Amino acid sequence: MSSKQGSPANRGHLWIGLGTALLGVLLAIGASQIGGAAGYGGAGPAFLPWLVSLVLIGLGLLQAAVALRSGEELVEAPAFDPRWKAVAWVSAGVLLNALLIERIGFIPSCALLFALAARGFRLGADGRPGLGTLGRDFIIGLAISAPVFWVFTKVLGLTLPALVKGGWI
Amino acid sequence: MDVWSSLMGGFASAATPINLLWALLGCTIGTAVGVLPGIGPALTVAMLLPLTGQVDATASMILFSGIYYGAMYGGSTTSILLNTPGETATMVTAMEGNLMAKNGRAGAALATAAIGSFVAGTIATILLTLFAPWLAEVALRFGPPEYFALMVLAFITVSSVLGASALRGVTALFIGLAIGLVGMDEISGVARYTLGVPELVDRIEVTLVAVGLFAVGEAMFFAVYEGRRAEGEHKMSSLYMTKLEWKRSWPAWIRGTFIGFPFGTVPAGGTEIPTFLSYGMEKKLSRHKEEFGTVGAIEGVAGPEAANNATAAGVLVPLLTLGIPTSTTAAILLSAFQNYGITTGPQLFQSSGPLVWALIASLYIGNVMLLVLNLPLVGLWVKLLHIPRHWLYAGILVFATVGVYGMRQSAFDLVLLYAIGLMGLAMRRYDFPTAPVIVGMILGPMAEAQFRNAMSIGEGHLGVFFERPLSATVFGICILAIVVPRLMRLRQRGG
Repeated sequence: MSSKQGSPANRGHLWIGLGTALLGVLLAIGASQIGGAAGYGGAGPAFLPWLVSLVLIGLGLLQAAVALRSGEELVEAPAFDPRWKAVAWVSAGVLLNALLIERIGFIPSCALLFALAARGFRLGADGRPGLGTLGRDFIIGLAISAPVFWVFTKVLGLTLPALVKGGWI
Repeated sequence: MDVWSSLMGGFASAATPINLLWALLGCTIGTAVGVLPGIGPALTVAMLLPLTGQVDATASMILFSGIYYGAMYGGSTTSILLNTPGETATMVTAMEGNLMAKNGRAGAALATAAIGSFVAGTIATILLTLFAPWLAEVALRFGPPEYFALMVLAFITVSSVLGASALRGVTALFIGLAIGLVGMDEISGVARYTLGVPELVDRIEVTLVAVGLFAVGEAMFFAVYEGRRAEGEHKMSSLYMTKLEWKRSWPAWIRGTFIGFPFGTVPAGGTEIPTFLSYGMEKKLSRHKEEFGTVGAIEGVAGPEAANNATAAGVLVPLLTLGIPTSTTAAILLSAFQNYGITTGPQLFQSSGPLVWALIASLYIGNVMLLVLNLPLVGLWVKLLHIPRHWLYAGILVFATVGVYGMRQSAFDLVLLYAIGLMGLAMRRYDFPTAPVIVGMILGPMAEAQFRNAMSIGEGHLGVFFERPLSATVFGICILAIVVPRLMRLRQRGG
């Protein structure tokens, strides 16, 4: 643990504090653009936005100050060190799903999500998944997404994107 | 209105074959969800909210409350058998329950948890039946200032009573309020913070935020940090409680129920307090104190389990009579009611009486179903835990997609989901509580509306909140809620 000001252990909280304050500033800018009469009671549509933005600026700065002043960790670090590659694969799965779901339909898109996310989780457990595992996970993903799709669209009447409009795929 | 005949009417409605099926489905899903780590009742109900567009109100509320109660039951199973409580509510159960399991008495622990939950759930539902209509009558005298005061109390307790840091809790609350601001303002019709994106004019869906924080955020946290955590597991023993164990359990069940229920009704924001209180009481009163913390004392499981089930029922009181959610799941249930255009609050019993009584009746039915599902089928639920976590979490993400896309058919929502998931990851890592975000986002617009109405009544003077005795009292309680815990902590440090 370093003893210089702002021990590295609290850098996360420092950034979160500054980020919150920044969010507050952005919200304040937005609040200043909200028109609308204050009406009879004096509390118009801009009242709460201003309140929230100013409070967030205050809270953010306070959090940053606490992070800087505190010599020790505010929050215990997790028991294991981070595996960023794992979350990269999970993110890829979620984002690709968002991109493709309306183009190729729910079932293939979610199967892809399943396979990529499972790969990410395996990596997070320090596994070594190969291409074959990816393929198998894709099949399992299909096996899960298909019944889910059928139950939710045919039985429960939800609207989910299909490759063939209104069809079974 | 005669409570008894209304309740009988409710039973008639809840006991129709279709509604019984919905109750069974809800209890089953709830138990499964409670058993599995990584998903909770709030998230599950949020994922199933799109159903409110297709299914009628009675059926879906029966389903959702089945899930809610069921998760309480299911959570105890994971707490006792693995040392990983599925819910914070069952954290205390894990303490003694796990020790009992280590010493070969897992069966007795599970039995006392299930039966205790049934006893507590039934008694608490009876209290709900008697208490709620009465409270609704009282609440008819509430006006906008009183409602605003109650919501402020809920904000205070959810952000500062829970968790280690009030600063982080309040920050989370205001982020939730900010999210709730996005969209068209209902009173003036002005669009706020929509950034020219049409999807945002319609507000941000609760499902989106809940699923993002709980499912996606949790999954990403698991990916980054938790994948290497090994899971221990304990052998199941026979589900048999000796006569002595029964004798020790049932007073604990009763005490736990009467501790838990009031805590559910009050916006004290959480099941940790009543379960810890019950644990402390059982330890103090027990004649077998030496078993606590060593081989596992059965009262230490019986009491807290009863308490957490009673709390779950208690939460329904303010939700139905005042429209104030006192837990994250309650907030999401409130959102479900809103989807049907039903405003909860004292009018609920008059305007949607049959629905409410059918709901309450199905809670009784649900309790019986859950006892049956949980005791004999425990072995089956435990098998669920053998699903490898990489598939479990990947499957959760698929369900998350259903829930979010099913609400508004927007791929943009899925991208937003990812962004909120990242926020959830950061919040989990840096210990920012997530419940205040949900409560802030759902109650925020309601509180704002009540505030502006109150100001109209008071002609622009803030005094309107303090001149009315009811609302002044509630604000007094707010101040107590802030000051008392701090005073107690100072006393502990000084003493």
